[in-house]
Amino acid sequence: MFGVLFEQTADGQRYIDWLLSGLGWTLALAFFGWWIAFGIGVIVGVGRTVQNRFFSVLARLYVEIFRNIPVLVQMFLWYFVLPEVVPSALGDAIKQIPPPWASFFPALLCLGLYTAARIAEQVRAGIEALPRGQIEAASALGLGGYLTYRYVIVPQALRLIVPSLTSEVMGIYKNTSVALTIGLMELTAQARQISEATFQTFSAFGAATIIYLCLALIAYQAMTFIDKAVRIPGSSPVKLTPDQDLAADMQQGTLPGAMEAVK
Amino acid sequence: MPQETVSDAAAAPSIVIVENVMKRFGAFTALNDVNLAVGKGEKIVVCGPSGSGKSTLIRCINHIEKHDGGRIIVDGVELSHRLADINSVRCEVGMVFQSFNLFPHLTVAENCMLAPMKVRGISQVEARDRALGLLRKVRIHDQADKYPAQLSGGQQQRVAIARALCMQPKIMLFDEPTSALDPEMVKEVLDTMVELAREGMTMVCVTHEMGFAREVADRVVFMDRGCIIEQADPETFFRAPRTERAKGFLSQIIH
Ligand SMILES: Nc1ncnc2c1ncn2[C@@H]1O[C@H](COP(=O)(O)OP(=O)(O)OP(=O)(O)O)[C@@H](O)[C@H]1O
Ligand SMILES: [Mg+2]
Repeated sequence: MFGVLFEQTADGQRYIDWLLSGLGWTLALAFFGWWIAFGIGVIVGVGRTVQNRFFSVLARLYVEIFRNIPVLVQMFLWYFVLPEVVPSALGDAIKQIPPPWASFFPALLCLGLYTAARIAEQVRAGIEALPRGQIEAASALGLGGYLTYRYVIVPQALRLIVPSLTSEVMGIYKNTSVALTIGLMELTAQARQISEATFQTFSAFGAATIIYLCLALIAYQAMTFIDKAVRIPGSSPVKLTPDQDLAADMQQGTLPGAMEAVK
Repeated sequence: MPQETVSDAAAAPSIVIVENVMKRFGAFTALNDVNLAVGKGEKIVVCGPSGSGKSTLIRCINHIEKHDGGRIIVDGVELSHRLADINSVRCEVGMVFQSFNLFPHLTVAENCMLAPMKVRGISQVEARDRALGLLRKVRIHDQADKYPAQLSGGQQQRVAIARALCMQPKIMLFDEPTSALDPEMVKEVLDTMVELAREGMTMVCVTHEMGFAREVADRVVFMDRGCIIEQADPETFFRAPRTERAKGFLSQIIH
């Protein structure tokens, strides 16, 4: 069925090489995008919970803007609109970036910043789910705001939200396919190209589908592993399902056992 | 004998001074014109019915709760909303909570080492030495590398006491440290507190453990509806309370 993938292309490669190259771009986009999203998401999520009005309003603004504009529109904004609205020297420099990178960087920025807004909300929910006693105990020991966040709040909040971060990992890697709209030859774009070159639509998209599913499985396994690795000894295990989110988790009263210790 | 202790303590300079303190939560007055001076080395037991403001009072002393009126002076520093460095005051005031509030993601030793290292700035080696020393003192050093969730309630509360002591505070505040514990664990925590009292620590304890109050308290402070309405040495207070409310309260907790 997938025999067509091993046929020669016009440029002397095989079609499967196209797919693999597409897979490479997809993985690169998801991987680097994830770290951008995670870094910014934690900072903005913390910003949502701080006392300082200026920072909390700024963080709120970030979340509302990036979470509520469709990814496709954000993709176009970074790719088409950004070079036009920045000072013309910078805009020209952006337009000079050679082909694969000219779509890769805007796509990276777009997915990173969009996913960051979603992660920020998870981080905020995690922080707000911590018992007040934790912050009081830290204050009573003389730990200031920064030290309390760094050593007490954030490490616990992140453990709490590993299950919901799993859906964000899945989300960012599925959203990489939107990058085809700005010309990045990632997995979906390559599948379409193969389909157009061979008229074997089913084989081309079938192969892409299988690859996407395998990736999802790997990501899910990796997150399950991470969840186990960071679990606090003595606390009861958390059930991990890909679409589980913190809100549903809390309703069922299955918050990680870590929190039971502090009641 | 208790009489003597009281006069000793009264002669010592006050390390905590609470003067005409008011605290409101919205329209509700939780503390109404409270006055209290705690001498160096003095042990005070605060008791009173639920909702009388006991927790609020001791939480104001380390500024976890911010008072709305009056003055609170701790170790020579007046607590106020404008105080830039509240943390240097809090370093001198240890606090033990009813619900332990250990950090669940850190081991017992790490719980004890965090603040000394990050706030006092001592080295990791020194912090661990100090932690193990104090964990030994509360008889729990063999659990130093376990996590809080792996310990019993009584053990967790003793860790919480050791964690507070690791900051080498001048005053210790206890907010009903034994009321979340199973009866068989109450004694091990009280023993630790008695030992601490014997060593001369200044202590303000909210507790209804009358045996403890009799054994170590220099003074029992009785609160009701946000006011201190009676204070006396434990013998006098338990034998012959002056106010009706204290009598009613005592008859309730003795059953
Ligand atoms: N954060 C808060 N917001 C509103 N009201 C509060 C708050 N904290 C305490 N109160 C109220 O203040 C009063 C005194 O509370 P406090 O916790 O000091 O009582 P307590 O004497 O420690 O009682 P208990 O023995 O039950 O611990 C209570 O009526 C309580 O409802
Ligand atoms: Mg209380």
